[in-house]
Amino acid sequence: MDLHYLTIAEASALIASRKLSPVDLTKAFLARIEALDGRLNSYLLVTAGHALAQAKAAEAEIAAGKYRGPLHGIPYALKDIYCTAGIRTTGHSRSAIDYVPTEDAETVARLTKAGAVLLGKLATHEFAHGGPSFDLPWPPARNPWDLGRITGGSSSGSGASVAAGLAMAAMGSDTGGSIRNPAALCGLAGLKPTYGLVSRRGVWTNSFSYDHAGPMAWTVEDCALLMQVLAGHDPGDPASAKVAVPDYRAALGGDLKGMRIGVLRHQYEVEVPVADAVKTAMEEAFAVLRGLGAELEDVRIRPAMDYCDVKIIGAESELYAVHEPGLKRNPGLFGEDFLGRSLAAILIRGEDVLASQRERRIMIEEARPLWQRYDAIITAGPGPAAPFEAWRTIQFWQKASLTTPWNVLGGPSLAQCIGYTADGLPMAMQVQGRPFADAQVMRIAHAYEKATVWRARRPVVAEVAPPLPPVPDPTPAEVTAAERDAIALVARRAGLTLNDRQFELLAAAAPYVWAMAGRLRTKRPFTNEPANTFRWTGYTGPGASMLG
Amino acid sequence: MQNDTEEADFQALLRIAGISFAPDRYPVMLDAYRNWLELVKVLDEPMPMPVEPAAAPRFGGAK
Repeated sequence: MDLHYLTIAEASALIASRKLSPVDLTKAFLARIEALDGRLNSYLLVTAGHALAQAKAAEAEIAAGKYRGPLHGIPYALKDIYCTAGIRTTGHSRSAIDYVPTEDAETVARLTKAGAVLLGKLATHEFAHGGPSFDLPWPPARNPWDLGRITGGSSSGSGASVAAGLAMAAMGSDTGGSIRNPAALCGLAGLKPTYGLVSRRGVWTNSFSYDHAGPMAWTVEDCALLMQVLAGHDPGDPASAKVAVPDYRAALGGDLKGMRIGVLRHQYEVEVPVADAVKTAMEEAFAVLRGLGAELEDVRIRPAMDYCDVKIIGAESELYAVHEPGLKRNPGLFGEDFLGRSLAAILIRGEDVLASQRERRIMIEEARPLWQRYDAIITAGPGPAAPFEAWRTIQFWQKASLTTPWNVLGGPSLAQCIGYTADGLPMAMQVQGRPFADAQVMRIAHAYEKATVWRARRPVVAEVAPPLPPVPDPTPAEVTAAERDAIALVARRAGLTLNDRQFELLAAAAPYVWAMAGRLRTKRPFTNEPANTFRWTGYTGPGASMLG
Repeated sequence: MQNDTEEADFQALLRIAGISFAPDRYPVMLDAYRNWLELVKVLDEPMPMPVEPAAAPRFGGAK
């Protein structure tokens, strides 16, 4: 039996009945990491001693009749933006290469309490944002289906490690698609839960307003098992929602009779066109869903770029605020891809950020009728994976995204495998639901998964990894001399000292960020509040039940 | 002591933002800009990552 290809559901049944030792399971994963990760680069740090100690403790507890549940003794790994007490947490960045947190993230504490075994810390695009990068202290994770291709990001190591059987599950984070991109490109199930359902406390911030922590695993059922532990109110996270947590695993199963599903065909065929193979796979997936009893019809939402305008203007400003001290002190400690995205935030004005949050509220309200008509909305996933040498930072600014609308709207969004290209690369669709309908989204995805054969196939990791490309030169900036002077002034006023390449990265992004901000400068009534209006929390006393 | 760079920046920022006003208002507006620079110095103190904004987007619950 290949222990490394067991699902959590399978392994936990064996562990609970004492047919499988958590220590043996953990050793199998550590051996596989040792054998394969030199080619995959999915781990930044393997915590072998820590993992074996946790596995031994789990084994002793289970032998004593103290079984904690389906994650007890299950080996998993963390994107290296999850804080771990006493264990280095770098964000895959030279700027935090020696950072050792004193506390676990809330999610890590919950997984530890459930008895899960931490194998190590995983590669990420720098601070869950810039990448793939070729100028960081560690190389980028490679796609196990083709080592010359990207994993998608930013939860790059999470995607690679789970697909290759180097972890049973991994935690990812998703600000604009960072769980669903690598889940799609590496052939996993990855859930961006409803905003506020899973605590972000102790997860290195990309964007306060758009960050989501969430699970990545081989199957939807495994995501449900992880969500059972991860979901729930955290008073230490100001965005955390006070909602009841359903039994996610019990919600799985059955057919989809009576469910109405909207299909965003226009989005993935016209606005953000996917490959023909993906379009074909989507049609085949629809046939499966109809066979399960669902009714499907095409529906449109706003253009995908509208959501990118809102998200990028707000999120880049927040990212810059988090990293401003480091960027002012020494931008050279960050990779060029990170700089090519983050520096342009200095060109965003305060009113632009407010406009983005006001427009976000309008978008969330616009979505309400969707959730009255549909049980779920489906669109294509990103991918298939591109070669490393095809990546350019400027693409972040140029292209709309299939994933980002769901960060803006905040509800659950799950990416899952719907087949493979002729070259053997995974293809994906995304299933979305109304806020807090995470169980329903998983139910639909699980029904599809059980009705198809895609989970039976695993990557064969090549014996030799091709060389990585050099750091790409900045894309020439399409700005006038006067605009270049204006950008230089704003950079100086922001306290930045940039070399020529760094300034070119900033200037290349300028026309795009100006265009985004310009599109958001429309007339709105003053009654249109931002999505992030201040609310009281944490007060006690008479009337406090109305607060928080 | 007043800084000439500040005045040059003020003029450039007005151009970038596309703002103009009557010449007799110039000294007052420049003075206001200098006061604003003093005001925002309080924001220069770096904050650690876990410090969340006072306002975070929240979903009140399923509807």
